[in-house]
Amino acid sequence: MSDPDHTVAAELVATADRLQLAVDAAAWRLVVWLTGMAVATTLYLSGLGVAGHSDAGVLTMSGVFGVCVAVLCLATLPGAAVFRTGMERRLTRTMLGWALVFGAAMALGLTVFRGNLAYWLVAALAAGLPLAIGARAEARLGR
Amino acid sequence: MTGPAHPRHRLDEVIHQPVRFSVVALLAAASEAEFGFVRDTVEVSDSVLSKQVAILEQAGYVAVRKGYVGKRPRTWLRLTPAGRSSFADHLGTLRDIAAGPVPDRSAAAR
Repeated sequence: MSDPDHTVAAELVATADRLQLAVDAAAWRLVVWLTGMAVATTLYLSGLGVAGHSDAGVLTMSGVFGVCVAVLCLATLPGAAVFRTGMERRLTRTMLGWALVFGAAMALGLTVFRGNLAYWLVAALAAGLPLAIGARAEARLGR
Repeated sequence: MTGPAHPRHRLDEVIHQPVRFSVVALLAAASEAEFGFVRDTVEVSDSVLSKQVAILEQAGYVAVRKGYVGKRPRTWLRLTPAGRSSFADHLGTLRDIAAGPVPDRSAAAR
């Protein structure tokens, strides 16, 4: 093993830093997915508020939401070639937060607040928030 | 005679080879990375990467997982906890060396 002098050692440290940046830059797919999910969730719950008491409206909105999520997943996730350290933990936390708010908003909205547009608009923002925060956190890690 | 004082004695011989250093440095920033991504980022051929990964795997520093995306076979690489720890030590040593030359103790004693 050749002994590195301080110049060579500094170059190696710079190489390690550059490779870390390459991994960060390649992790954009998760940021896009989280942002897309935040937008889709917010539009879906707002749409349920607009649909009011119409079953057909609720079903149509749900169908469109399902298609949007499927397209988003197929477009961004299969080609992901690298996942940053700690991504599983951060994603699990984000998705648990989203599932909790989304589930509660749907359960309350469809049983108690159906047709109440103000409720659905607030619920839409609240359900999109965990995903938006997750996307922002991932994007900031890449800087 | 005292023991080795220069930080170079703390460098990991397995990680110190240039291609292996780059592979491990990349994997240190990732929980998992696809073989093709590592190959393209480190700028080596399939065969060179395979050979170096085999050495890292043998040393217990890298774990290899084979899977499929659709019908396409994919190979995923990740650092083991031992590999992560060794790289952290190795990088710390390089930072020590980069910080400046270590004074020659024998010369100072004369």
